[in-house]
Amino acid sequence: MNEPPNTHDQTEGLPPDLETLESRLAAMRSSRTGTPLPDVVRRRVRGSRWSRRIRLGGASALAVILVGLGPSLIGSLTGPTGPASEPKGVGITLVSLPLGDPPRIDPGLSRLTVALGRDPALLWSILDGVSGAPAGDGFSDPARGADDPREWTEPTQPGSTLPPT
Amino acid sequence: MVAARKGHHRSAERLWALEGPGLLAFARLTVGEEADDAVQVALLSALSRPVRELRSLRDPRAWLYTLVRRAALNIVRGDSRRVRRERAVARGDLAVPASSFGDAELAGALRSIDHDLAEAVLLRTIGGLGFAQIGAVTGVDAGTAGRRYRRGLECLRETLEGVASRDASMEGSNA
Repeated sequence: MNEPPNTHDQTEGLPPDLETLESRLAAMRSSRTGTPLPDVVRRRVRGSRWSRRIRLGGASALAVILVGLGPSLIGSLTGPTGPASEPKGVGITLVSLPLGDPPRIDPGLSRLTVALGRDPALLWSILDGVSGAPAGDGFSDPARGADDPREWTEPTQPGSTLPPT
Repeated sequence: MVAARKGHHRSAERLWALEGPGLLAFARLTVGEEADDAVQVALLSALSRPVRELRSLRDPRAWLYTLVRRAALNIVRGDSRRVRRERAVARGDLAVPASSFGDAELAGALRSIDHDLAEAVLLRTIGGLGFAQIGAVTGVDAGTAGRRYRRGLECLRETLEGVASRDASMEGSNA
């Protein structure tokens, strides 16, 4: 991953002011040094499971769980213009599961709701991916069943609280 | 990257420390405050690939930048209704202060020049890519990448000089 830049005659003989500009540009990189690995990537590396099928009052639904989302973002997505109000072909259940131990359900939501991490684009891609299909989130661990009781207990009714994962 | 794909957390951290800042800065050129989204989508895509595919990559760095570029362009080009809503939703939580990218004057100048030129400049100076790699990321040959780089630097210089002379004349008129 550390292949040195190849030298090319386009940079040979650069006037000093352009070389200074190069240095100034290179310094921009350091302004983001130290930014922590995004949670969404960390969880992917660790193989965390973010979604699975669950049952809600007898109806099968897909719950998508991404972690670390602020309540305001969840609220805006579950409002009248959010994806929860759009027909998607399958029951999309929104679960708010912020980072923390134990995780908790957002009390402001009456139904189980999806948490979507910091990445709305990712949520959209997941929702688009499952539209009209019964499953297929792209993140579940195929080595385990979709309803693996080791991590998840089926809630019996809307609004139930999930056990800590 | 293969180790990260296999779940080795420290490798993921190392990969991020090495490449994260450059990838973020590069994405920021195209999508501004949504750079984090673009980079995350790209990394998730990379880490979802089979290990065999990752091992077969000839140039993983250029490939990562290509993924980020694609993710950023998808954000820009995506279905307008969906994207507008995403942005509206994201604005509150995801906005990144301009100051977090350091040299605001230079960042502004980069955004004001031709995008192809700015890409070449950033990939070279921040990403540390060679011209062949820049060409691979942006879909041009190495010679074109090199010319874009040089022209980009020249445009940046002109832009910055223009800003400086405007500032000087404003100071003069205020005095």
